[in-house]
Amino acid sequence: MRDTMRQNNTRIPYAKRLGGAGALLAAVFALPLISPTGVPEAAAMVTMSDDAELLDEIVFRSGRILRGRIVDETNDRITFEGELNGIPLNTTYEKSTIAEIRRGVAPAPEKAEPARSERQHPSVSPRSGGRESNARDDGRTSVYLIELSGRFRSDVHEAPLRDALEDARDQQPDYLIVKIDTDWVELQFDEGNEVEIPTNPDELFYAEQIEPLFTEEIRDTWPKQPELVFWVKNAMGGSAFMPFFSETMFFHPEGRIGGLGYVDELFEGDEMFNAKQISLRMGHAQGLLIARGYEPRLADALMREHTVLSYSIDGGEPVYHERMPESESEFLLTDDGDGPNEDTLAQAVRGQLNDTLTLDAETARRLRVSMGTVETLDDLLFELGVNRDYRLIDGKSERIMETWSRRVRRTIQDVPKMWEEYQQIGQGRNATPAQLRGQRIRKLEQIKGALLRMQGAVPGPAVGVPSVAEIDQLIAQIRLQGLGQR
Amino acid sequence: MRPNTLLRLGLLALAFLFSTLAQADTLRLSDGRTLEGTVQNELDGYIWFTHSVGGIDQTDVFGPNEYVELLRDGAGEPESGAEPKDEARDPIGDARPVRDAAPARAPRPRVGSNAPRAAVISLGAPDMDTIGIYVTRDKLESIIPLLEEEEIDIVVFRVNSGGGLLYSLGRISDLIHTEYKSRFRTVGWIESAISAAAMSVHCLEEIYFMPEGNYGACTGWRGNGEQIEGGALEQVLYQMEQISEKGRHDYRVMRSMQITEPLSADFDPATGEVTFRQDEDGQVLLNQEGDILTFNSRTAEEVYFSDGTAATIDELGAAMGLEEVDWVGEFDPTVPYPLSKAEREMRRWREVTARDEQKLNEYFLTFQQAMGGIRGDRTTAARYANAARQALLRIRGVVRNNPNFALLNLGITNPEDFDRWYREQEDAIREAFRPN
Repeated sequence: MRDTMRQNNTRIPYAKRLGGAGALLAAVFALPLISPTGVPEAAAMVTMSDDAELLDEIVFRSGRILRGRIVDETNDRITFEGELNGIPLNTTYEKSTIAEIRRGVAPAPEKAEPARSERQHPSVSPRSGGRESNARDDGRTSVYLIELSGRFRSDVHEAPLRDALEDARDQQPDYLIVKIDTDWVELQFDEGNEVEIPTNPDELFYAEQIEPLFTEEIRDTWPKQPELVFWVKNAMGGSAFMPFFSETMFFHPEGRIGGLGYVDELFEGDEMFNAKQISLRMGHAQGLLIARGYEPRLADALMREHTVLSYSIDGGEPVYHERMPESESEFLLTDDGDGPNEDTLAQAVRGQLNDTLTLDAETARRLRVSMGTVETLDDLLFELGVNRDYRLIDGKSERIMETWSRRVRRTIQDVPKMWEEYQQIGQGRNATPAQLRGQRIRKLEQIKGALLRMQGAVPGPAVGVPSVAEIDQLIAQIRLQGLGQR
Repeated sequence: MRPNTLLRLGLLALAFLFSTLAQADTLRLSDGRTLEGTVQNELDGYIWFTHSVGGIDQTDVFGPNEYVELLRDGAGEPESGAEPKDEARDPIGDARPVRDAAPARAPRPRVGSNAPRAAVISLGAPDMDTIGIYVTRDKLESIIPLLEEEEIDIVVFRVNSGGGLLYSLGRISDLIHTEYKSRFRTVGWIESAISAAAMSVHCLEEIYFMPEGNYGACTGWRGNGEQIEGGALEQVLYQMEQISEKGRHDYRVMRSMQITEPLSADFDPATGEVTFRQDEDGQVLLNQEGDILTFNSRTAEEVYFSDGTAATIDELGAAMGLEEVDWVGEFDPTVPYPLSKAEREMRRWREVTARDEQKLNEYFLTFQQAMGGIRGDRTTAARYANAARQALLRIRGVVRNNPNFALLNLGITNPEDFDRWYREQEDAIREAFRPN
């Protein structure tokens, strides 16, 4: 990626350019300079016009599958036509990137194949599960849904999650469904036309911090153990680790897990220092996957640019290979990112990066990471074998998460204003030194209180004000100044 | 016996030839060696055995599978540990298991169950995990009486730390080796042991992982990402070779956690024994050249560095081979194990330390600024002198709770020197306040 990108100026990982608190601030405020034209792999389903009965199917080495019609073909290229998310598409692909071409196949069913084939589809499947009052023990399967949106670590934060989970615990659901659709800054281009690939692998540590809420605390403190299910739509950056908190994960058709790459480029210290920092992060990340039985090498593929990983399917089970594919039955997950394998700008904007892994719905399903691909909650519960008359609990989680997000936004707006007001105290007003000190201390206490109430979701430095500890020091200094007044 | 124990004990066997210890008991190990020494303690088949290595007394712990028989001083009958590998061993099979033998120390009188009593002690917690600040030798030493008060037999160190001060790891490791291992069956339960955390508990022979556990990344470094080199590096490498020996771990494992040397392992097809090698050519590649090793629960167990993987104390008890165990302490729904008195004290102390850590800069800053105020206007000097004294008292309170704050902020490593520093500051306040 690096060399190729250098032609258009160098790609610098987002986390590297906007490290630490600055990264959070940027993550909260940053808007892409250009909307993503890169297509998430899961969304890359090319559909045919209505009059076509049979489709052609291309299976890429990356595991991605496109369906449509082959309109032209040479020895080394294929031109493919269809629709992509409703937009007419006509694209030429190198055959070297294709593992298999299937011609004249039946159109794919609208819904993914059930992950567990032994389950029988109910004969009739009317829409069901409207939110209902929370009467228990009515014999129906109860479902509690928590939807996570916004920014990981600010909106998706320990405080509202704890409240939402406490509400869920009180309802004693049979199923606890956590849908992840968090915000993610897509590719950006700056004034110099440099492309920035957003990545934030160090959100790993916040993911670790909230993990016990979903695991140990449910196990140890809930009177009734629910089946915890993560439903992935957009799990990028730190939220990418959340689906791995459970052994049961489903994908939305557009679902993706990623945004963790380039951990190798986070550090600028000595060689062994850098190796240490990478190693400990991989130890943490692998551990998160191992804890629920996932393949730890996926952590390397998600986070390290030079990981080479491919897979084949043997008896329905994935077999991983730490090398490039060696046959048509092997599929590439990530290449080493070196030389000709370095991701290109063209790949970046098409969402076809493979220096680090972004798991899409199809690949996740093939790897048995995802138990299936479902578009709606009804579909998800059907896949779980839940009878259609399930009871969707009218819980407080939606309100809890929304209220918290509003408070985050308000704090981000208000605290810098308060700081400005603090700095203006004493300008153009007649007040005694003691009055000024009192005003300053009160304003600082106000800022401190606002930051403390957000429990770290809005760190002071991220919004241009001192940290809580620094505010305490300022207050102590102001009080000390008062001693000098007669 | 774990397959790699033979390798771990190789150096000890050689040194044993030069032993000068006055011998009392004889312990014949599963690997064929025979140790002469003294049984210090016994619990649930485990023996604390002091013997001489190179003229220096050393106490090692041997699990039931690691010895074949114990011959006590003056006793004619041998006592067995594991099933013998040696066919020449007592063919009649009348040797008593050691766990039934009279322990070297008088057993503590106990009411009720005879199940061993175990306590979990947390080394580090989220945001309170720095070795040398939140895990200190002083604190670990101070809770030993609490463990003894509750008649604890087994101490489980649940480690969750991202590392800390190089200065502290040797002190903590020495304490664990000399004071804990000699009193308790002491095991590590690894949630996350990175850098100084791994090095501090590396003297433990018995290590279990949580499924998400990680252990390694032990490269020493200074600020700005500068790795330690030269003599300082060699010293730490040597220190960890010695600690590896105490924990009966192959030194190569820790070496690849410290510097970018490769590590792989071979398995003996007949015995399953693991041999580590400092290259990439073994059957299992653990660390490639240029990387630093961090174990996860799978790799650690694969090469028998970990004795097992356990998510809960029930699973841990099973992995430790305990048919029955009394996890001592009060139930707290927010903690996945009972809280013994020692653990409650550890948690209380960490909270105080966290508060102190946040406030200490403020105290120092106030002290310095107040000192400046004393030297200014004489009419307000008394107020500043009082503020300086209050700040100084707060600093002393912080250091009393955690002496390592004196090291971190003042470079002071012992209480006497801190007391001297404190008196000097008091004198300075008086001197500044004195009229010219």
